[in-house]
Amino acid sequence: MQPAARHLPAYVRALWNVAPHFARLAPAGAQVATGSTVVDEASRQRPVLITHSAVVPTPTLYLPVHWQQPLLLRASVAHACAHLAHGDVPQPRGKLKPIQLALLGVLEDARIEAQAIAELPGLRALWLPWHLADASSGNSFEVLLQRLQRSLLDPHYTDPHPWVCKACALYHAAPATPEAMRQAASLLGNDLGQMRMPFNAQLYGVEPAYRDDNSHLWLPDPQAPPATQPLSAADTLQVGQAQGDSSKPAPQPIEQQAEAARPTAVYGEWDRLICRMRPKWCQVFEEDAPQGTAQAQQALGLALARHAALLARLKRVLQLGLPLKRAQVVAGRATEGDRFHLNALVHAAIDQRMRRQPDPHIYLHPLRAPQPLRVLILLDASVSTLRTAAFAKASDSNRTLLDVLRESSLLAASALEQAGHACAVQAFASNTRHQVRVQRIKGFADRADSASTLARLAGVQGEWSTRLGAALRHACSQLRGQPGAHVLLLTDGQPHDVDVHDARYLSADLQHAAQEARRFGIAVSCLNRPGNDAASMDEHRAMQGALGVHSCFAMCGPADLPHQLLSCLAR
Amino acid sequence: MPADPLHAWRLLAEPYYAAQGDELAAFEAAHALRLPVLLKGPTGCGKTRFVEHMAWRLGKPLVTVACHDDLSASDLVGRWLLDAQGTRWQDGPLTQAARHGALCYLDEVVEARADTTVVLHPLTDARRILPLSACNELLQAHADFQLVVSYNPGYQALHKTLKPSTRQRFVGLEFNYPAAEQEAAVVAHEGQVDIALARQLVAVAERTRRLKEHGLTEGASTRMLIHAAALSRQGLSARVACQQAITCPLCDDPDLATALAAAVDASFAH
Repeated sequence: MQPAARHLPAYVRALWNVAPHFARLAPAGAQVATGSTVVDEASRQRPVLITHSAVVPTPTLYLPVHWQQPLLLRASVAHACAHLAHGDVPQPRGKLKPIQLALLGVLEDARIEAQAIAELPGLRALWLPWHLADASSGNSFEVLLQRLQRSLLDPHYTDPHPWVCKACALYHAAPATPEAMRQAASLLGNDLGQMRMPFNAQLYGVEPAYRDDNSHLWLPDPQAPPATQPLSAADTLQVGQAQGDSSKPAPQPIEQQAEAARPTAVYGEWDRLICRMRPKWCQVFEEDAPQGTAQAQQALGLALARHAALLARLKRVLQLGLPLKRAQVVAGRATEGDRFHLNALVHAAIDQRMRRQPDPHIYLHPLRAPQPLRVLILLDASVSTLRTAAFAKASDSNRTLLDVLRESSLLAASALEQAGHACAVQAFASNTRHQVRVQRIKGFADRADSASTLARLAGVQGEWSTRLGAALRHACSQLRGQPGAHVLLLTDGQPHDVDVHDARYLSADLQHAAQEARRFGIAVSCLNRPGNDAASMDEHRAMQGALGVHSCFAMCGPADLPHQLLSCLAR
Repeated sequence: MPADPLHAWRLLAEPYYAAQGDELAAFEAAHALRLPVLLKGPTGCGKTRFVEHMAWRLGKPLVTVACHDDLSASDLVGRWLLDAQGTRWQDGPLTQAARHGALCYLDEVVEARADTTVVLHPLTDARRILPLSACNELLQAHADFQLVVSYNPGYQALHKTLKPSTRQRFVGLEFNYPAAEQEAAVVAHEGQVDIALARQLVAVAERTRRLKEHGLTEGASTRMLIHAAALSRQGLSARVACQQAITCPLCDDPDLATALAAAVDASFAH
């Protein structure tokens, strides 16, 4: 979400107690490229509101991605929420002509805005600056509509045009019901037809800019031409009187397709042969991890219960073992310290005068509190983690390494959370530099033992390769500037990807990424789970070379987790 | 006849309090048995005012202590002081109340250190005694003495909660913000503004309370609304008064502050 829009979720929750989903509407240029019929330039792009949809469960407002003005965003969001609060279910288009659909949209906008203003009078001042049309703006159909909208919203503006006056009178006389509005729109549309007003339904755009395109007012029209079929200009030019029902198809928000094609972030990569960063080299796509099966989810819940003792030990170790920082506050008395406790000195003086043994606790006791860490656990979900875990007991010999890594990350996240630290979990895998996938499993705000975390953790599948450097850079970009930031890698060996044939290339990049992270004050450590053969041990040593001997530890079994985790985090 | 040692703690006029339910009768019943009372509720919903009102109704002095995280046991019980003649014992507020018979009100008791709340234990069970080890005295509480504590369960501060051994000695009364119409009446009375403005202010407060758990620790309290009402009576516009009394103190997060300011803007015509 762009900075100007970050306050909007709290704003709409406060005013309407709703939590619609906000999404970006791809730039107009992209719509032309996808073959949509909409040929608007960016300035004519309007927000798209989805209120009732079988596909999207929560109402969604698509805002043009280039909008940066907070007041425009706020006006638009307030208008959309007025639709949500006071609007009706989508109606069939019936025999209404495009000109009447446009009119009905205007009247409906005025109705819901009036109702919103009755409850929140300050909204008028938010919307009014966008209504600029007056008698000097012209007499075309679009301008007349804008003049009508202004007359309906602005109590201090009276328009001289007879049609606008008639429309205002009709609007105010009609009861605020959908049927009455339909009736009024029908009458006014006929008037415009008799005035021989040319109306181009295809080029018509809702004005002013903050208002959405009103496509949510109507049920999908089965007779409308499919969005992929381009309409020629001759087809679309209509006069109000013209027959036919080829209404404009609603512009399709293309957020999903655009998201699929656009990476979340692009990072450079260190090329050891040319000793330079290759700029914009790796594309990272961030997404929510898919939900796992109920069975797998239950297994994770059981694992958490089975390892309760280990978890308690982990928590204790984390509470006792992590470096403590001296807080500014002091409390209580101590026998030694840097500063005197004044009350204790007074008491000691009293004791001396009363010929009693003075209490030796005359210093301030500095209060020590553990420094809260912010740990991002990066889980390796490459195909190599599907091999059988070497240290599995005979009873569960079919457990894969990924199962072990899943469990370890869950335990670590749980223990960190219980010890008062913040923790997030993400999984990563890569399929060449063009597709590094990062899956969100647990956010800093989610609980480790919540059903959603377990479901997403269970849904992580092992596939593709291990491009560690890009994943690490992405993790660091999320943690930058936060105190106590720490990235913990849970992996099974050296980085590897199918488009890299130099065995040392990705290790060198990882080393570089780790150095970058440390420059930003983010600690990086790694719990590695190498195989038992000599080659695996070589790989582990290469990882230690990249990350530092004291930041990369081999984990031989779940019982190792407490002290290995502590060794990682204590640095 | 010595002067009344608790004279300064007596309430002279009736503190305004609008009952939300049967809490007056509930408190009177607890007082008849001298049971210690725990008041729970969000900040600024009227807990302190309720205790003041009850003290006035019962005709008892009210000793209040605002607890903080450096409040030690001797701050409550009392301490030896030095003066020219030597040493002199001075009763703390709790000892004063227990010795002379008063309601003792510990505001936000969870803020106090854990060792502080332990001195309350012998006072709050059937023994009703306060051992003053520093001056070698065992004080039997006065027949009129009653302890009232308040706390706000909304703050999810780490390690800040009452121990079961402490909380199980109390009977509890739960408080919340009054219903909209009643809250408007309270704001209109206390802020001395007309009821229409008070209703608008309550609507603003309800909007901010929706953000609890969504960025705000607490929504705007009744106390804040009274401040806003009083400011608007000083001649500020309602919108400016709300920005000053509500949105600015509520949060520091820039995005949330923008959202709150915009919500206040939307709530008043301008």
